[in-house]
Amino acid sequence: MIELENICKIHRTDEIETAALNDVTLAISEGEFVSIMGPSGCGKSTLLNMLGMLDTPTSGHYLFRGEEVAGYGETRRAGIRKANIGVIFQSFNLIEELTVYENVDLALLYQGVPLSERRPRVERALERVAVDHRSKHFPQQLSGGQQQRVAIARALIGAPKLLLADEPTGNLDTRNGDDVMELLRDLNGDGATVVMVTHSEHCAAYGSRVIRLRDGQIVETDAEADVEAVL
Amino acid sequence: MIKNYLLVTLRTLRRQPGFTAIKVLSLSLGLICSILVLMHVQYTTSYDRHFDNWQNIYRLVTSLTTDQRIDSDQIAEGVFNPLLKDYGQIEQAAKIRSDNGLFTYGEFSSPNDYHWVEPAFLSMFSFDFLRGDRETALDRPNTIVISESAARKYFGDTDPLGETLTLNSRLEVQVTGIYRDLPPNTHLDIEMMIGVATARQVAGESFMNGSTWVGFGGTMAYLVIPGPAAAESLRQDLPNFIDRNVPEQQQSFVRQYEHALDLEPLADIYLSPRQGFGPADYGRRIVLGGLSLFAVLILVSSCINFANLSLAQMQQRGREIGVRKTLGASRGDLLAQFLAEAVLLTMLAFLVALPVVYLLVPPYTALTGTAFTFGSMLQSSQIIWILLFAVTVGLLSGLLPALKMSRYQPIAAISGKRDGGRSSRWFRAGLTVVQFGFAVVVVIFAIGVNLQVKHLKEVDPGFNRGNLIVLDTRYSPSSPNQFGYQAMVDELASHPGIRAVGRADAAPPNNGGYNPWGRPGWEQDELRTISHLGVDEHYLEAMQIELLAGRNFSSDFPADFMPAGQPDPEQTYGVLITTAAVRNFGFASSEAALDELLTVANLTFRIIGVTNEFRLSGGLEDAMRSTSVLRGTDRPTRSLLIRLDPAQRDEALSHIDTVWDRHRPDVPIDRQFYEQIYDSMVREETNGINRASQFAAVLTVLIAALGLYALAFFSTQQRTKEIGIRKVLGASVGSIVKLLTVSFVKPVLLACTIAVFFAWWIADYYLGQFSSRVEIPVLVYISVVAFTVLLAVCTVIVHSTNVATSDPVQSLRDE
Repeated sequence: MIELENICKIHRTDEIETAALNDVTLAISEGEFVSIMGPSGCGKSTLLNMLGMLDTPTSGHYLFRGEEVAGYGETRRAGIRKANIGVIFQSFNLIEELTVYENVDLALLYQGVPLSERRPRVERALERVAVDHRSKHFPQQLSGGQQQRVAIARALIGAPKLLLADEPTGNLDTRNGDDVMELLRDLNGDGATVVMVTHSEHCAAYGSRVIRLRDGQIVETDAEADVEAVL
Repeated sequence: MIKNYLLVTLRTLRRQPGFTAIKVLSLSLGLICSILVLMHVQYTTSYDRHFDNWQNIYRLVTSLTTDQRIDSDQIAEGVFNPLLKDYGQIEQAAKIRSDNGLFTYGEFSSPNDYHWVEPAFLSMFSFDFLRGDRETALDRPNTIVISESAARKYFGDTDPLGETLTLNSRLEVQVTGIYRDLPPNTHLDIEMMIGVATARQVAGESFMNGSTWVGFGGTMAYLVIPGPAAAESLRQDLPNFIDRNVPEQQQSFVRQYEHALDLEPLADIYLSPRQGFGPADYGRRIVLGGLSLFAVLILVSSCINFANLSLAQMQQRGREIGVRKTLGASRGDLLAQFLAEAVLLTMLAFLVALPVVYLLVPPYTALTGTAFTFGSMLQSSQIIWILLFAVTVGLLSGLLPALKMSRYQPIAAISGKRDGGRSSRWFRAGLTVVQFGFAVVVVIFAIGVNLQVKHLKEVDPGFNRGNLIVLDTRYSPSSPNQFGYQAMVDELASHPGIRAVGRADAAPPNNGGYNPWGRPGWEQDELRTISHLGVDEHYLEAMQIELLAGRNFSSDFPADFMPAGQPDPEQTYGVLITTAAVRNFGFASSEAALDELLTVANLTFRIIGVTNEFRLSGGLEDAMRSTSVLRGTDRPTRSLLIRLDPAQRDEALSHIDTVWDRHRPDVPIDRQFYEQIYDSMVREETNGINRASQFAAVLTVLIAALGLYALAFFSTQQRTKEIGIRKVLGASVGSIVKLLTVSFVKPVLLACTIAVFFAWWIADYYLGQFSSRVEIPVLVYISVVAFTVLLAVCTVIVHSTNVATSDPVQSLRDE
């Protein structure tokens, strides 16, 4: 589904260049649940943003479902994004001025889904993450776990083929965190490809593969670790 | 989607009521001013367009050069008939001339302006006759047509048709028509019209039909030329027309004066620089231009506020923008959202502005001498344009922030790393510079105008304006025995509170006749065109003009005075000249000028004395046109100048009234203090721009301060982390306040520096219109700059202090 080839991302300020991603090559297949791990500042989130087309690489190739997207402008990326990708953030990123219902509805609005279709879909999505009883509340009125569930509902409502999660449990306690991880596993089970950035080995264990990053480079994937363990 | 935008907008607005208020308030200030000026402009452009045939009506006008360029709305009567003969495309043509007289009906007498008109004038301007027949009303001599309100004034409830009015107690005219009052937006101020046939009966066929190409007696001519092409070709041919037709004996004059004719389309007349006989007068255009400029400045300033605050709010909207982008919102989607927001806010501002405009229309129209109403705006399609205008304003002020906000990379927006920091801060500082620049320009200009008005009121006109009464005796040379003129003058002068009663043959501040004078033997091209006034021996005393050399007119020297009737070319009459005339005619000194001769046309005058220079219109007067020759006259004149003893002012005034009542019991008295006449001239000339600039000054400063206040709030909020770190490292409150304040004051200081230059330039242009002008003292520039900077400091320091005194942990925790 995803093929990255020699992806670099370099941040430039007046005097210094820092490579957030350095020559990353990576393939993710349809239906995988991949966890990206590594120390702070190793480029995990940059990689995730790259995958979600929220950020553009400085160089390299990005094939998304066979389509080269690395050179696309914001408009075309936005088009692919809304059709294929759902994103979940550590800090939820719900729009405070909109209610729970409206926040979830927004994703469908941008996809141009007609009203008659939207209402049942939003209700179903909220039911699925078990916050349907809070649909008229504003985000500030919910607990962190509830907010993250709303964010997940928003991410999954467009039935994305790729679900990206950036430390989805980072701001949650263990119980709420586990709930969220269960949800992600269910979604993966339903066919969505999930890529998640996490610090927690516990969370990473929900996935089928772990990619470890250091200083903007991939140092190992689970597959290699397994081989080493066998030898 | 729209609903979603609206929801977010409304909730954002509610969450930040303070900023919403500042945004809406400053936008509505901008809208209020610009809507008023738009209405004004609309009103001005509606002038005279209500006449049926307005597109085809033209005024024939004249330009000539004497010692200066004269752009007159009048014609020399001699051009009229040849014009009609040469140009078949002129469908209709009529001459008119305004006059003033005392009209009497039964017991009731009242002075009124009236016009002598050629009958075609009535149908040309499609006067709407309520009674009588427009086509024939003025065909017979001794007929008059009057407006509805003139009819009410003289006849009350009586049917005026067929009634007789007496003009100046001798001419009886019969009312043959009553027409609907003209609307206020016409340059024609016509209440009563008498056909020229009436005057020609008495004064001969040459009345308003003279053959001269060089004399101007207030006659104006209107033409109907169908089609703009025909008019244009006629206009192009006018120089040839003059060459073809100017009578031989007047050729040299016409050449010398560069006599030129032109056509003015009816719709252009109101704003025309041709107002009477004199140099081009751009007063109305300057006022309209000035007001428009102020409105634009205020509007731009308020749009800047809007944009600036929106940009500052971006920090808080970043996450929303990022999320929307993550969900697949395109740049267009976000652009649409922010523009919709801007328009919504503008509509709010518009709703706030409308009632204020409603309240402001009456004082505004009073100030600008216009007559539009709020209702007329609502009735016409104007309201749609104004609404469109408001939407455009909203779009424009929202465009910049919308463009910027929608451009963010989604992830940068979410994480708060957008906003290229420095460039954006510079950009906002730039906007602040523009705003404060406007404010400084307008404030300095307003002070300049104010100083000028003060100057005009205080400038020494060369005579004593105080305690001087101008009495209009309504004396008419054609009925000299209407009342005992000399007896009245003697009686007036007999009171101890009246020091002198002088005569002048033109009503002050009129400068009198304007003709080419010279010294004996001078060639035509050496002549000096100067203003001259006929006065008696009491004039100097009444005006308190100083005699510097020679002697005053005196009844001991009867030859000083031009007699009534035709003057005798064989005689030499006396004149007093001013020191300006001494120079102008090339005399070495005042003493040297004494006993020298001056000539005008075929008459000769002897200089008997020299006075100081004086300007009857004070600082408003063009020095070239100031009266510089006083001719002796002992004829009764219509105007009397009465010098009062300030100690016995009230007694003297009541004496004047008593004497008047005794001699002219049926005529209401018309006496005015010279000071009043002068003040109203100054007011007319400067009031609109003076008030408007004061108003604009307050508004631009207010808007700029509001903007800076909000901006300071946001900026300090953005820098909380920096401030926290500085405090952790031990920065004092004082140093942080200074840091924050200086960063805001710097652009303001820059703004002031640039603005001072522009202010000087604009004020210099405006003040250059006056013959006597002030220079704005450097101190004014310095104080305005100091005041502006101080204001900026005060605005910012409140926030800076708040932030600087808060707990460092608080500012760090924000992350």
